Amino acid sequence: MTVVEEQRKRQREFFALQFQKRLKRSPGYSPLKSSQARERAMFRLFLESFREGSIVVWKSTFVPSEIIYSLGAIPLYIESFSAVAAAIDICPPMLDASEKCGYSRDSCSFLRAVLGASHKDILPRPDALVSTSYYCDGDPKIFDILAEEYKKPHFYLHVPYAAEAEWAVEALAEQLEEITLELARLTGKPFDRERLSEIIQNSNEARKHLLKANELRKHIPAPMLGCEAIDYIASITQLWGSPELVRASKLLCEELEERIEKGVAAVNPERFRLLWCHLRPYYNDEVFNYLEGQHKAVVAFESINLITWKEMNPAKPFRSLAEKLLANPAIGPYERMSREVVRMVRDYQIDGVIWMSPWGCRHFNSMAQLIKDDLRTVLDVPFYILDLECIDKRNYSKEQVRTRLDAFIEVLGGRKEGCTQRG
Amino acid sequence: MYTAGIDIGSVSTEVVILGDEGVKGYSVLDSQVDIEKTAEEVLDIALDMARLKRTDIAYAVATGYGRNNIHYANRQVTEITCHAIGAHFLFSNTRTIIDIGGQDSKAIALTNDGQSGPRVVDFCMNDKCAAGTGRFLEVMARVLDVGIKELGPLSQKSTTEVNISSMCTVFAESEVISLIHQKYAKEDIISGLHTAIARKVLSLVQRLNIKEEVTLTGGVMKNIGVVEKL
Repeated sequence: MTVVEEQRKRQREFFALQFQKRLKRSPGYSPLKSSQARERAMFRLFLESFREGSIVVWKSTFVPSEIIYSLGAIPLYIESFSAVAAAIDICPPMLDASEKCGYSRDSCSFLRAVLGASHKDILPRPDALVSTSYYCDGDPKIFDILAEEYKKPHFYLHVPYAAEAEWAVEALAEQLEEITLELARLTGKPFDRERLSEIIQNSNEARKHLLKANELRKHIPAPMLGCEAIDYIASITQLWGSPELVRASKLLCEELEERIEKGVAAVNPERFRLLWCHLRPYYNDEVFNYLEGQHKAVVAFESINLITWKEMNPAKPFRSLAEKLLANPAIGPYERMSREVVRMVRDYQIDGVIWMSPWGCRHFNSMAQLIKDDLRTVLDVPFYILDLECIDKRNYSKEQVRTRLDAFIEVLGGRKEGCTQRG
Repeated sequence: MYTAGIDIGSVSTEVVILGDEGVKGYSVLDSQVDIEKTAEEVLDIALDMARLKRTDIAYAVATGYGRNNIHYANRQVTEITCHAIGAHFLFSNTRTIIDIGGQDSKAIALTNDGQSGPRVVDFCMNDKCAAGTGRFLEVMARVLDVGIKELGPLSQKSTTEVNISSMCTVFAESEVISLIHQKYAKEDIISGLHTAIARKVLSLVQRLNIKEEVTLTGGVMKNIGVVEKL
């Protein structure tokens, strides 16, 4: 065994052990079997990427996993790795390592964690890297640094701001095809259009189930905790195109139907229904447990689980993937996201919106006040912009966060009381 | 019936005792490390003033950062709601509250539709850092070698204001030291500090749908200089 192989083996064993611990944890509730299946699939994918002979493509948030799967390669979604690393509590030394290299603590902690991990060489090494201009401009720049570090090519997908323009679909589809063919050439894995069509069909199948799950979650009382549901990250998961996501999402629907049929409520009694926007703190479950456990305010839905794209056409995979990507409401003018927030509030009968605002997420933060103002005009639903960190637990202050959550719950309580008294 | 309210803040702990006829007693002490002990002492002083006993208090509400540690409280309510309801109690036309306390500042919007009583509809608070709050002024008063109560009247004598950052208390402190060395008048420096505080809190207030009347609360509002800048 070579030194590199030996190192890969050790890393794989280390992460396998950490994942086992994570799966055995007691999160304070009984997770659905589908959630565990999804989590296992994520961990397996990551561990696979350490295996000798695996072709690993590092990707940023909106790069479609489908094109990578179609080449028999493994998509390593690096921001998702940061979330997993925070959950298994190995982030602090990674963040320290990035800071030692001069990266500001004010910047995105997802990307800082990856930079630190790469400097410490604990990640499966990439054969190629692909990033997009959306969600954030930081991604491609960091990918340039990583590509330089690993001496591997970096492909950049420019997502047009004019997301609703017809030319945007064409432009994006062309880039996707070009990058896929280039990845095929580079990795020595021939591109097979039929294989990509099959992967697209997998995506369609999972989409169908997840749309149904989203529909089932409109039930009152909510059949699932937001704390658990948010980890599906349905709009961005790297499992899109995999048979594992099809199985997990199908099982999710079955479990939700069973819960609804049996009258199982995620939170009992359900006092308030919340919409959660953005991701979550990954280093602990405190915020969700506090809201859902203590205040009986269930996170009925999360914007990250929103599915906005139409069914894809397997005969036109690149065009379909381009349309899927451009259907993301965060791309383009803020009104696209605002419309979706209003729709989610109505569909899920939401009492209040929590817009999580991580320090380093400039793109998402810039929309917050605009959407709050819009919502105030259209629906008059309480909206709180909560400063909270996703990855870097050093920036988390439990008491400060609790005071803000308590006050927001008091706002919702006062509002409900007022409505009741008015009859 | 007598009720008590206790606020355990970062700087001070206050108790007020209410009867049907209004305020019967009150007390203010510096917050100590032992929150529970301070809470006991401050209540006893207020009870003495009211000539009442513990058993006369039918209901007690705790607020502030130590609200969950007061064993004699029947209920905990955040300082956001308490400020709003308290301000409305004193000034019934209040619809917006600007509060600057020891370590946080907040803007609160409330409504009173006449049926369910006043209630908070929106709020926002300082995040990440406590620059521009009471602690900020305490640090600056020490650097300038003036009493905290002198800041307001001194700033009113300012003729030329200087620009001071409110991003960080420590950086602002070094800025003030540098201005002292450059022989700027204390009055002008203090006026600059008050402007920095006002700008910081106004950036919070502007995120709300501001409606009149506006009520100012919190210890910093005893400083006429800050009030004038707002």
